[in-house]
Amino acid sequence: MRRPRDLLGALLGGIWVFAAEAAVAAAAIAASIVAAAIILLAF
Amino acid sequence: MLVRPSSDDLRTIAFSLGTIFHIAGVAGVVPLLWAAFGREWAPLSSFALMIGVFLIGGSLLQRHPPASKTLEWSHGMVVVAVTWITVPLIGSIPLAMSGHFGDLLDAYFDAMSGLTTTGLSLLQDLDHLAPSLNFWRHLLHFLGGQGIIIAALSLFAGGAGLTLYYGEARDEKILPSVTSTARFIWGVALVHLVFGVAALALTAWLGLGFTPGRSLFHGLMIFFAGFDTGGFAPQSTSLGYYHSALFEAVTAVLMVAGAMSFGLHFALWRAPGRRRRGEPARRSTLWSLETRSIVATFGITLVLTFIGLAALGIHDSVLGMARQGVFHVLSAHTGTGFATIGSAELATWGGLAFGGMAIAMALGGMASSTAGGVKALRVGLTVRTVRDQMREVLLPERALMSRSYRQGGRRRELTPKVSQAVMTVSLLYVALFLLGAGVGLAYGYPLEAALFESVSAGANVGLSVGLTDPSMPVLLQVVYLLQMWLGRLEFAAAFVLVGFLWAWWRGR
Repeated sequence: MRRPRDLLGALLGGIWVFAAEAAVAAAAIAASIVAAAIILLAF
Repeated sequence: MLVRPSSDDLRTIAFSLGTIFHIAGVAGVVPLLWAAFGREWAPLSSFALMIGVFLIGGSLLQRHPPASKTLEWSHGMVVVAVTWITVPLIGSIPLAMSGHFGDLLDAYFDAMSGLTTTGLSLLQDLDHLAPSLNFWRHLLHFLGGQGIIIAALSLFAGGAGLTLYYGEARDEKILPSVTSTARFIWGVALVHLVFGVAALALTAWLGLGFTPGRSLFHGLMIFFAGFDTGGFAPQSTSLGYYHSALFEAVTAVLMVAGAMSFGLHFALWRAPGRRRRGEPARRSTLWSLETRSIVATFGITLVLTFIGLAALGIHDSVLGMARQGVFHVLSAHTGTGFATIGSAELATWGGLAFGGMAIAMALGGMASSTAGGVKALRVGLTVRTVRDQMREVLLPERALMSRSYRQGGRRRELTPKVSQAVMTVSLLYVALFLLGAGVGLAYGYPLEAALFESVSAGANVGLSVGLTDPSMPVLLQVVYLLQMWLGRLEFAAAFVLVGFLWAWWRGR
């Protein structure tokens, strides 16, 4: 019974880690849009 | 007096190298099966030859086992340095036989670029390359990024593996034993493989209208190159081939994951478990000096690039500039090297846009990740050292100063020895970048282009403004090869190899 539980753990862990990394990338993209808007306005 | 290495030293090194050759040979079976499945008979025979050379070479190296299998620190360093020269040499056999390279050196350049996760390429007519050969190029990223050494670590006894681990410039032991650390690194890679390939393939299939098979192929290739911060792509137009913001966003997630240290991966992985057990979140582990350093440098280089792009007047829409700017700065800072524009267009990014990109490439990702460059931890420690020096001048003589930093969830002391080591490696990187730029200048290339390409090679990035071309001078090609090798090994293993060879020649 340990193997299915390990697999489920890896699956849930993978979803969590991937979601966290996606959040970092999304934050970088959102910040870049704001920065691009300010800089383009300044020019 | 220099002591000549004993025959047992040589046997120890040869034995370990033999194990790595065997692992590389086994890895070569995957593209061989791919070629067999795709009925690509010419690549299949070249893969068979490569596997044969790896296996026979490995067996010959292990013919005379050493008396003791204990791998000393210097042995491990030499093994790593030689591995990064010889594995691409044998791994370039299928590429050299493909007819897509001008000569053997070009094929070796590609294999070295693949294994060091650089991404610069001299391949001609990539769009008509056999899929199995394309797969092999990308698999080289995976092997180099995750480290053949790391795979070997799982097989060696704990103590023996440690020197190989450090030799490959991964100095963060996440779990108590190196073997368990290596297994964790492989576990992270496999989980990302499943999720990354699925996300990319689904985007290509549902969003771009690719067939399921083609979606899977492209997903796998881009995953290898993105997660291992490599930069090869299955098509000559790199990520520009897909013309998709969503595909670029998924790739950006993989680039971020690839540039993260395995220590941070570990902390992230353990975070839900800690929360379940009611333990406090270890914010200091996630928000360490290294994380703060990379967030700051990413922000600065992004703003510099945006100002440069705005000044050039290339974009008139916010979203257009944000999309192109953030993707390329992320690609440069993580050491990946993907581009959505051609090298000729990238070459027009002069001024601050060029400066922002070049600085991002030089600084690189986190330590103990697949990214190259100076690395965020060294950047953070360099800034901290300079700050401490200034405080020392400004504060009264009797004032007590705390010299410490937070890393890996605990407070560490910033000793003069640590500062000196950090400064030395950082300076060596600057010298490495200047070396390639100097040779490029000597051949008559413009300063900006010569510097950009040199930083790209030395920091194992792979973005190009057109200097890396089949018609490039041979000496410049050799210098870039050297830069890729030294940049990947972060100097230490290469210096130990030189010292070892010197002792062998001049020692008694």
